[in-house]
Amino acid sequence: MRVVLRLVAKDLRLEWRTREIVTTMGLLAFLLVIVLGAARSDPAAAPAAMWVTYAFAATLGFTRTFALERDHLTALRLAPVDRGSVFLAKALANWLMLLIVQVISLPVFGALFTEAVWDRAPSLAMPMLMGGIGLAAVGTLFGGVIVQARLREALLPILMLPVTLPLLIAAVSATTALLDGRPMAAIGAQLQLLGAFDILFVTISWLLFDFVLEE
Amino acid sequence: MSAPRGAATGGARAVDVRGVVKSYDHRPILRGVDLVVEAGQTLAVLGPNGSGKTTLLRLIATLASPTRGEITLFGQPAGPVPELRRRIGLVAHESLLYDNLTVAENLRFFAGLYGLAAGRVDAMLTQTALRPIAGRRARVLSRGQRQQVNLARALLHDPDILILDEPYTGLDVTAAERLTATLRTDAGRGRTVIFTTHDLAEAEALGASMTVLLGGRLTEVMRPGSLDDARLAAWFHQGRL
Repeated sequence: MRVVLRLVAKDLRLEWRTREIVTTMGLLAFLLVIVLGAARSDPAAAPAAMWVTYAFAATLGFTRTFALERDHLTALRLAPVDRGSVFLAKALANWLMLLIVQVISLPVFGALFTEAVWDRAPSLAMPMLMGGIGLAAVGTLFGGVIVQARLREALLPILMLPVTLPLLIAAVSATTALLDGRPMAAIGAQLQLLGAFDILFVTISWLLFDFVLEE
Repeated sequence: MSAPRGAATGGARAVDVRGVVKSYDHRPILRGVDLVVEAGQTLAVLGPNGSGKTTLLRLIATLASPTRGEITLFGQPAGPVPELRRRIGLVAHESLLYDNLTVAENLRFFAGLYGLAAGRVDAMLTQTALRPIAGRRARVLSRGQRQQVNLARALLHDPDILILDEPYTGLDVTAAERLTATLRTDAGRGRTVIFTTHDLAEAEALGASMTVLLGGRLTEVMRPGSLDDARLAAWFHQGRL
């Protein structure tokens, strides 16, 4: 656990100094919200717009996190640390950065789509957190797989989005129900699906990361 | 000179490479390499660009697996085994430092991965004379300073074998002399040192045994001073042994 925290602290310190990833993710998220809002600022479109924005911001940011690490992977490979710890640290850092983008973009959704976002913000936290974990787990796994590829910026969305489709559908469904004013109890099935997805992909990625880091 | 390190745990041979072939996309880079490096020996692998020196070092450093043949380090089969990797220090051709961390932060980070106490970083900063630049970010360092920090990072966990991939590339005379001095001191501690270069003078400055990699094959290991520039240039020009 100490290794995980050390790796996360390093990633967050580097991000704090450069603000490279959160800035690019945030900028893309902002532009997507504006474009989607201009196309259809209908409250019913808010959940889909939110998750399309989060998914694309995630693919952009997660590609960068591994691209920045590419030259240092040799040193990480040689270090006597569990590869699963490297995955958990990267996924945690990715999730935290996505979370920042989710939080700062929420007011824009409220302004452009529906005021219900303001009223339901505490309830929305649950699908946002759980959906973010799944996106971070899958994105971190595939980000590691394609880190040496030449077209990695194009590859990550191609690999990540189809796999995360069940998660995105469940997250959109849960967000729709909450923005419609339904209680948390009404989205139990969606939360279960999100939870199962998170557990499955965190576990699979944790187990597979040994092979991802080796040649 | 102190006793060779690692000899007690793995015999006199630090590295034993037997019949190693390495291909990428069916293109052979190494075509049957045999090499023995004794514990405590300093060995220079000479060869022109593209001769496979980096590939050979990556195989010895357990970062890649041979297509055929076998490699043992201190008597153990080379592979991604944490206990074995802990005995390896690597200065790669590319800098392994984080540009936006300071020298001290870089060393502390890697020390943490190896479970080393903070005092070890302080000792290393003093030992390698890096204390004056400890607070500088890696991205503002000169090539020579970066290489010194890379060396300090590779030595932090006191590895039994130190592997350096063209460590002198891009260094000016002063920085090269400083690196040589550090390596000579380090080699005197009984550590096994393997480095690649295409410059005979660099190998001789370290008093290293030498072998030449050409066309995917190695010559026999030669004693320090037994190779001259004319012979080496002729081999390089010919492109094969």
